Amino acid sequence: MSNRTSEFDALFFYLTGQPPLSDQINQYQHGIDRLKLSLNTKEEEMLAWAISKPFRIRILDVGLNFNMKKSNLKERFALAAAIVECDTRFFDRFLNTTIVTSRSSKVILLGLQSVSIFLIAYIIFKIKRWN
Amino acid sequence: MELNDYIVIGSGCCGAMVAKTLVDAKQRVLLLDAGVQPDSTIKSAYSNYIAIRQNDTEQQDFLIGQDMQAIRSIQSDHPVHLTPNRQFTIEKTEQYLSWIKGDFMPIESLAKGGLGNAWGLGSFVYSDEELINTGLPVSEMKSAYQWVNQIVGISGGDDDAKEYANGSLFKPQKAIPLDFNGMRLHRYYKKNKQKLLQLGFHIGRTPLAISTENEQNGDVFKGNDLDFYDIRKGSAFRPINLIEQLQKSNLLDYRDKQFVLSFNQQSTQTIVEAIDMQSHEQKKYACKKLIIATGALGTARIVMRSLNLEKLPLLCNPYTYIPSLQYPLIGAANTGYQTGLGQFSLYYDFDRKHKEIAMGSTYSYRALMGFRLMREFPFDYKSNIQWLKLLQPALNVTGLFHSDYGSATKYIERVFDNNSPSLDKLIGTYQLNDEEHQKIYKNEKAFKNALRKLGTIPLRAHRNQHGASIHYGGTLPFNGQYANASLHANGRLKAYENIFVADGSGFQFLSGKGLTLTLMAYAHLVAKNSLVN
Repeated sequence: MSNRTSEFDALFFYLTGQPPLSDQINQYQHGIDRLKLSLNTKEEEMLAWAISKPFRIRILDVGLNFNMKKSNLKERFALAAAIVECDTRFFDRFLNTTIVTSRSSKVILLGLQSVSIFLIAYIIFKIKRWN
Repeated sequence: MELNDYIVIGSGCCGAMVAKTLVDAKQRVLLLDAGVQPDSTIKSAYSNYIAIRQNDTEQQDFLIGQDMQAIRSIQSDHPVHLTPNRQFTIEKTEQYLSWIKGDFMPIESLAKGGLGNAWGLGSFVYSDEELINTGLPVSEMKSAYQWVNQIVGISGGDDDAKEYANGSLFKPQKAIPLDFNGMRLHRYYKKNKQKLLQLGFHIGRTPLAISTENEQNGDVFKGNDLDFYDIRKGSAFRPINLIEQLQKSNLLDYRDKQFVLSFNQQSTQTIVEAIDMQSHEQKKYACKKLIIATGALGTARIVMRSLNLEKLPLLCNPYTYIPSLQYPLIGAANTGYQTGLGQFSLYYDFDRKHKEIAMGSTYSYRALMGFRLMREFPFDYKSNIQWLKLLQPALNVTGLFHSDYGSATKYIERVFDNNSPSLDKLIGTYQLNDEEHQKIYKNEKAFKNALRKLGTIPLRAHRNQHGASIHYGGTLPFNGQYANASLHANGRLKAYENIFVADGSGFQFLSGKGLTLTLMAYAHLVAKNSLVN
């Protein structure tokens, strides 16, 4: 079983670049219990591999989409994202308060970035073997 | 055992209209209901969406819920978009209204106010041709629609599609304002109106059970985009409030926690058997007249148990949703007025005969939580958050309902189950034939084309599992072959003198238009008929 506090610290930092508040850690823990999001050995192993580096978490995040989209580990990502979304500090990351200028270039850049990460994750998940 | 004049079963949109009609006629009514109530400790909407998101440090209580209710509901096999304060709508259904997994998985309710608590508020009048197809009497239904309009505040447009929206039967209250997304659609509609008409599309403001000119539904719409999510306050009609208003009269005796199992008609009275959901004891109630208004599936359970039937036919609108993007709105600011309520309805009437219409309503994507949508994106959450921020203001969703006729491959069966309090559960079979598949495909293609003409880029059409439309009917069709399992057009069960059904069970056709207003009008009509029969 992974250390959940470290896990949420890592997920929160990955999503926001900041550490979580203590009540958010409790909320995450409560959510895992209420939603019965226990992990199997393979998911534990994946999480242990990814937890130390935000980029690996990102690879794991997208990699889970390939054939484990409904896994409890992916649900933990969704839970963390929901908690972040309800944090007023990050309101601006979810909703525009001013018009985004040069939207075409933003769409292209974001598209290139998303697809690149997608491809890297695809290759890593092809190469790496989990138990 | 006390002999009641009337027993009504169910408190949803139909039950509320039956109760209202009978109480208005000075009848004493015992209303039996499972009556699951909202948890008053759960935070309700109290401000507008942006203000909550921007300032409320405890917003997770309203958006996710302390027990993660909002997340749990979308994890299920049949995700329902409910905020924690509306979760009571589907509570206890897994225990009492269970289904065996199959190709038809519906959504039912045991709540006070039933599925009316989550109703999208679309209020459409069926055309004469649709009423005839459905098996309903045209002139009586027209009066019934007008009666409902006096009870429920309905807003909408006096526009090109008013014949499709309300058949010019009544003047709706003024439509809710358009948001920036709706305004742009409207500009394109004006520009391409002739082309859309040639394609068979009639487009107008969505008629909604929202009061905009008076306090008919409790409050006047003031541009609060969370009115839809608030059961107790706000301008949206919710049957729970009508029931509670009727409870104040001494004519309505509302008895909750009663899960009705069956009925048994004896010479001068009908006995209704129920389980008390608190004590788990069996209870019996007697009445002179019984009106069942629990929705087509709930009614089917009661009738199947009472008459020992194993199988009944089924109707359900197939449902498709089509997300589409308005490219110039990508990255627009969210701070102004924006609404998630239906803004435009597109009526696809290819032969212009008002006979078989596919209908789509367009919404701005104004979901309470973005993480629901992000789950659908193929990328990582970090990228998805950025995508969501860019795309959300530009995103419309068109929910498209296809009409439905009965067939031999659409039915429900009752099977025994010792673990269920009622000792049974249902399994649904719903298979479309090639012709129906073709019709749906043709509709989807036509709607995508129309959405392009409205200045949007339609994305992939998603077909939901059968049952997701929450439009059910036809279990006891008016034109049914067997007397035991069919209704007279006046709502009376053919084999019984004093047992009526006031929901969509008798419908022999489901139009693509939303059916809730028609159900309410028909429920009123059945209650009225029961007074003279």
